[in-house]
Amino acid sequence: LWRYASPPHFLRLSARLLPPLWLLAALLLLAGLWLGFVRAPTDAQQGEAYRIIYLHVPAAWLAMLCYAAMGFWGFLGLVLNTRLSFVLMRALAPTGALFAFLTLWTGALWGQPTWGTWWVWDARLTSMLLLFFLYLGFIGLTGAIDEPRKADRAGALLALVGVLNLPIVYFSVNWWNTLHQGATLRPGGASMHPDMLLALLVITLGFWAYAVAAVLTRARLQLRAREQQQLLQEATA
Amino acid sequence: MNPHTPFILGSLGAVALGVLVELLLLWRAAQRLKAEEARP
Repeated sequence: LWRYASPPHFLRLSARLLPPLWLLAALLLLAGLWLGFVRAPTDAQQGEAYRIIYLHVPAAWLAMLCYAAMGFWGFLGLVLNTRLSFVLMRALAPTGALFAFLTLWTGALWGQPTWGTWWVWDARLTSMLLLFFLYLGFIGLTGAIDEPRKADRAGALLALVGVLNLPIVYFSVNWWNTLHQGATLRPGGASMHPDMLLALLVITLGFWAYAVAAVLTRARLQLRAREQQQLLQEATA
Repeated sequence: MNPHTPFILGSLGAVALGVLVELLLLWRAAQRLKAEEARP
């Protein structure tokens, strides 16, 4: 198992995985957009505006998933002190921040035609905004510390503390009275037409494949940059 | 035009732009690293 934590092994494995992952992301997203924006029926209550769900909900899931993964790699990095764990943790942040921003943006564009407002300070929206700020804080903090190992540890602590926000985001619609609707998928089944559900799942898989591909690409770059920095330091020492 | 079209296009455009910017930043980082690695 330890061989998976070795950077050379990771570089070889990710080089093999990346081309099919980028292709899969492109195909799933194209298929999902067609399913959601062309094939799926119009919603009886919300009209065409409901189609924003196909971007908003997958983006929100990915924003939470990326942060949970950041917490996981941060925890692993702190416990095992493996460089690759920290690199993966830091590579996740920009992609997660993008998804959190897209959740807020598409949410505002969905809120205006359905609720009559771009924004309300309700529990779901506010906790999602906090998640976006946690991403920005993480990127700012790790970027502000020059020494990579110190930046890794500080970032991992912030990521772990921030994980506490995830159940608040997810359960906020149950715990508080909010304007936001409840969960789209529940253990008892989905509250939507099967064609709508299919589009939602295909776009979610497309976003997931895109996120994995982007994070692996960034992690490879960060690993190589760290090796380059180490070589430079050794050469000047 | 459907009154909801601008909201849908605004959402689609933001996703496309976000993905494009991220891919551009990754590409730029790769070019910078390549140049650094090529330095003697």
